Amino acid sequence: MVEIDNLSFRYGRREVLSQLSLTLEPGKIYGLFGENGTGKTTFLSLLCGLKKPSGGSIRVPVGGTPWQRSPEFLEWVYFLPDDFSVYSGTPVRFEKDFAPFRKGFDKEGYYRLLERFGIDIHQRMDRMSYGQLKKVHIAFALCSGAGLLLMDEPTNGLDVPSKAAFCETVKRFSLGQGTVVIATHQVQDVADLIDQTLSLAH
Amino acid sequence: MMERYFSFSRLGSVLKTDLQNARKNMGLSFLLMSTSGALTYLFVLILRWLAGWNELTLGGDARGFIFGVMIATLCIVTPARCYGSVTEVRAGRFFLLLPASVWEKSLSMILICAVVIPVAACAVYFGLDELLCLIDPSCGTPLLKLMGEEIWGITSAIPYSLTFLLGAIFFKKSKMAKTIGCILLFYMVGSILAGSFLGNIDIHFLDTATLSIDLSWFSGAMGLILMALIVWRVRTLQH
Repeated sequence: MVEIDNLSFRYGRREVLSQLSLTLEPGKIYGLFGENGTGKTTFLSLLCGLKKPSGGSIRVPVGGTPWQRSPEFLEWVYFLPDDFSVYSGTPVRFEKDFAPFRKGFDKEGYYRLLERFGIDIHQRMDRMSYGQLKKVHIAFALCSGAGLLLMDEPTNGLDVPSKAAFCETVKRFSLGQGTVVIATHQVQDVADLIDQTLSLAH
Repeated sequence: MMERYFSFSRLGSVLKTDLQNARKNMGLSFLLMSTSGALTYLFVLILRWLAGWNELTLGGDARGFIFGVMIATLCIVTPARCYGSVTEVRAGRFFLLLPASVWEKSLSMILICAVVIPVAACAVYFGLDELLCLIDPSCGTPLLKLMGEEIWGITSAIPYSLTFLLGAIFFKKSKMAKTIGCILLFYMVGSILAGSFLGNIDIHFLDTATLSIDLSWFSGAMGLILMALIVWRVRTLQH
């Protein structure tokens, strides 16, 4: 369970999030909606420890506060951003490089999901399209063994069959008592998936 | 409990990831720098061959000078090439969210920039130098033998390497130029302070040996301070 209490964040003088309080429960999928600039990505960054809150607190079940970025916490959380850094290896190499950091990583599930997404596991990732790259990252995130999955615009760039596969696997992930927060403008893509809506406004 | 802060297996994984990044980001530069002595020798050989300058040789002094330039360039370039992207939102996010502790990430950075890459470059440079001297007697004594005990003087480059690493993860843009600027500023302020201090004491009480010991302590202390600052920066970095 993640307990957020009076969370605030400001960029200089501009307050983006103000006194936000909520609880994220295990096994639930949350849809995070709001106009541009309302702080969706900032909220996800605060949850995964990339930013330090200006005020309030976030209590997580492992490894202190997110901001401390302890190894246990970083293993428990997975942030899937909308933009990725360039990785020049193949999906196989990606798994070999980063799975050792995650004890609960499901290797078989990762390759099964890549096959389902139609990804050539021997193709270099820096030569993949944005959609293909996204599929590799989604497959890795869903099989990472994380307890909290934060996704920023996950269905951007996915084709229709892949969107269906994505929804199905996210549902399965949450049944395993994982918490999922999906920030998106593509509400129709995740409408059937989410258990609870979180709306942010200016 | 200790596992929470430090684990050798995690450090190994971080080192492996960092080495792969280093190979990707500065593989060619490393190759050029570590073979700079041999490349210059080849250049001299071509000149000798084409222009008929038979007396032209690349002696120990020249090879030593090239080595010094190579080490200095390596100290300046390596941190920015390997870890400069840590301050960028996309690449840096990946580094910050890697499930390892601040200590493991910082130690890996320090080892790569101040030990692994310089030692590897020295090994390649000295190895090729030894080979050249074996093939061509006009090269004279191999550099490694020529330097003897002085080889350990290379360790004085470690604080500089750490300074450039700190600059690489501290500044967002113009990392190398800003770090050089900071070093110059530090030396200027240090000289003014030291000048005013030495002006107030009787200089006859200080001999060379005392000064040398003080400076080696100073170098060690600087190294420790820089390492602490690197850990602090990795801990507090946010995007």
